[in-house]
Amino acid sequence: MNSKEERDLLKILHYINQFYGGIGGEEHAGHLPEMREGAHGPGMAFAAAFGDAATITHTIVCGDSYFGENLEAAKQTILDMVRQVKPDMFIAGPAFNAGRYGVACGTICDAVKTELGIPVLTGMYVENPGAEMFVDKMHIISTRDSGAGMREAVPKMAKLALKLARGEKIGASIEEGYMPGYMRVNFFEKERGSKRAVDMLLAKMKGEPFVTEFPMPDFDRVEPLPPIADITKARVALVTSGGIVPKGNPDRIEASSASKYGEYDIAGVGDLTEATYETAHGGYDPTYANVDADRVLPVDVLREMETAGKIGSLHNKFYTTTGNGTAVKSSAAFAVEFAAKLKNDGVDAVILTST
Amino acid sequence: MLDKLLTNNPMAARRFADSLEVDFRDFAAADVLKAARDMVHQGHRLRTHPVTSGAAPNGSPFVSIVLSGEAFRTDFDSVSIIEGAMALYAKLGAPRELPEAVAKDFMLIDCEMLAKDTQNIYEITRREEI
Amino acid sequence: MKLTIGNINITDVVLGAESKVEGGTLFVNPKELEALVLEDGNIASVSFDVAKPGESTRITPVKDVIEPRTKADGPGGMFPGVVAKVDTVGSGVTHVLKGAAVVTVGKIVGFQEGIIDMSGPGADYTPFSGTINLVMDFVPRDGLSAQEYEKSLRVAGLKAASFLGDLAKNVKPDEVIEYDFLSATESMKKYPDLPRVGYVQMLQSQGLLHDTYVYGVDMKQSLTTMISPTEVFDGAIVSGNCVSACDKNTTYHHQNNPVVTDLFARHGAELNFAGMIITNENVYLADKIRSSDWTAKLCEMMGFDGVIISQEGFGNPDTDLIMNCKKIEAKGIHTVIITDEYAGRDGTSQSLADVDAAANAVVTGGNANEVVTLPKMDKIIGSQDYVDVIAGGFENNMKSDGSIVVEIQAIIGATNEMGFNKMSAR
Repeated sequence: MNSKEERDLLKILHYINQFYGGIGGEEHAGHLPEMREGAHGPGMAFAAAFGDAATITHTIVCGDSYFGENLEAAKQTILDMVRQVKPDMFIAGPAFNAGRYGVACGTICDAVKTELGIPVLTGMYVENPGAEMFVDKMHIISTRDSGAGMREAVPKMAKLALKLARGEKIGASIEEGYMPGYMRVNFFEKERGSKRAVDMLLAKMKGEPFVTEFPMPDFDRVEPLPPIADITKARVALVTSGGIVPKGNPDRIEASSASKYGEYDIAGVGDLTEATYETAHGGYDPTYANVDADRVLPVDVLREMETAGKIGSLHNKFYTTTGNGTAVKSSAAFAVEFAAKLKNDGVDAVILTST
Repeated sequence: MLDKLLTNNPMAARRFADSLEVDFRDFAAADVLKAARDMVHQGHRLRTHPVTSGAAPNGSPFVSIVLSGEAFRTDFDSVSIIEGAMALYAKLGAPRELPEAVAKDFMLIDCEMLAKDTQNIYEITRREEI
Repeated sequence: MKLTIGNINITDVVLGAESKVEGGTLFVNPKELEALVLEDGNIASVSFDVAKPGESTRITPVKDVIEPRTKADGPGGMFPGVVAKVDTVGSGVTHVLKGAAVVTVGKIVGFQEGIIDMSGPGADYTPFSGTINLVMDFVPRDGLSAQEYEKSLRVAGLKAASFLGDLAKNVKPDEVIEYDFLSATESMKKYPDLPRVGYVQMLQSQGLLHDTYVYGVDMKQSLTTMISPTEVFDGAIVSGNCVSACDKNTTYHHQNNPVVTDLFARHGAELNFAGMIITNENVYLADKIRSSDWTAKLCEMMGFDGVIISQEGFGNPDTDLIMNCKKIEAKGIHTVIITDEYAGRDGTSQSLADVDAAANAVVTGGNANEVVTLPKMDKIIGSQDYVDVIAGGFENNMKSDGSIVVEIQAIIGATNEMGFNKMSAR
């Protein structure tokens, strides 16, 4: 029989990418998931921070590109590894500002948490697209934007990981250092609410910075333009975040967390067929989009309307990307570029479609 | 045209029988909200906020909602309020089974929330739409 | 309007043969109070008890908490329009029995909530674990309707607090605080360079057990209006609420309005406290629209540069709060709102029923759904019969060791939206 101390030693499984696993940089980003015994890379710092309270029994190393491009397969392989180890706690990263690494950390933590019921924790920079995607699903320790922040991040992550593993009460985000947005937790401030309100109002009136205690969800509202005066004369373009691309995905638009958009010519195309178009989009069942891509990008219907004189014309180019996991910031940057092109081409109206 | 009262509260159905066109549904609270949502999309306007009481929703099984009798263009404020109320009920869970005396108290409070001179309110809001 | 508050520190409350305030002790003859309360034929009987900080005592279901005060000098009396005759209050001298409170208990409806624990983890959430409470537990006459019972209980508490306050009319205060609320022209001349700050107080007014009275007027029948902030110290606003224990304002909260106090604390130095607006929270949407239009219009007419908006209750009042905030911001006037949250027991749900980007400065009183285990108390004043039905209760939440598991929304004043407490959430 083990001594009490040994039984209480928490088993931790750590997930890192190929770079922190010591395999190499971008050229090795296709590395398949592998599991090693013990702590590696940043795991050494975690091990030191855990002391006698916990031990990293295994480390999973996976290439960022492999994970991103083989989402389902990577997830299943890694979940099987986790099932085999049965850890008390799963830690991923920290990923800092590495986008694909951050998305991988969030994705795998979410899967481990929801499918295996094991507590999870990751860490990343606030602008990492993984943060935006997963901030409402798990505790994410807020880190600096580069590996230089490792020294700061590890103690915070280690402390919160132990609490999560033991099922202890978790403090408020500003106490524990996780990103606000997942969990609202009560705590006692130094001043009463009315005094805090007066302080906040004085700062707001002076134009000084202040921190709201409850950030409102950020709705990016756009004022609509006046309606098209005569749609029968308008040039209409199609733009989609549903990932419709010519068969074979010539520009290799990513299945998730897209880093680019595509511009494709549809001059003379009246119908998107299974032989000519498909979707690059991951995260939903692509069968119906692949069989008939018009279901996502309705070229067929607009051609009919063009012929019938119901619209002036269908613009001969469409713009496309995958919305799945793509940071709002990236999407906005894509749109700024192609909106200028659409304007130059004399397009009067755009129909936006999603999945 | 009288305003409609959509309710699963028999006490409210009796009490407002003369001043409102009562549409009594023997539904759970969440389903009464859904029925109201459908009416809102058909152009009926919310007259009352669907979450009337501080005791509801994770206490009271009764919901009473006043809507315009007439249908207009879909009112987006009504849509957003009914959707918010449905989300609140979904979040805080279904009301539990209650002892009869307590259920009666909930019926009473549900009625009282609407008691403010409904006829008067009706006159004013009618004019707003003409 | 100039009001002097004289605080008389009360360190003990003793039931005895004579009613008086002496040496910091409030002596109460229960017979006298009983006679006063039984003037109302709807009350069959009343029992008295004293609950002190640190004791193993639970008081539930609480109807209201009231601070004993008296008008020692100047016009009017406490709770004008309800106990005293209608006359403008808010000036002269008011004596306060600081540290004492009248707590009324009575089960008007079966799902009524409202817990005050005098010790243990629950005590941290309510300010009334820190006051010495004279508790009055009422039994109504048979067949009394909920409406009549609510009114009788409300008025009985106010009468008792007024009676006790009067005992200190001629007692020398331990501490004196002066509040001077200037007219619009006076304050502009005196503080031409300070930002004009207003306070918009939202008062719950949906109906039975959700009402607030101003000089005796049911607030749901009123348009949005203005009041001198000194008037609230004299009981111009009283509570008719007894649901949503955590975020309703008791009469005690109104008498000690923390926003008013904290704005006065900075008045003349960093800001010019230029006015207070009171508005309602009605069920009818036309009322909500009209009242919030009116609030924004009054803010503009008063030339405010910024306002603090406090809420009461949750659910449909979130709609009033956001309407007020949006419309006032649209006038170019800065706002800070004080609210609380219903983020679910694990804290992961959307917190507010209504949100808007205009509300970019929020103070929160915390998540009312947070779960707390309240240990068994040696003494229960009132009744725990329906603890499992109260809004903050669970089914089967009474454990075999006598402890109860509730959401903190069952605790009086736990997430107060006037910013009475230090609790917040992130």
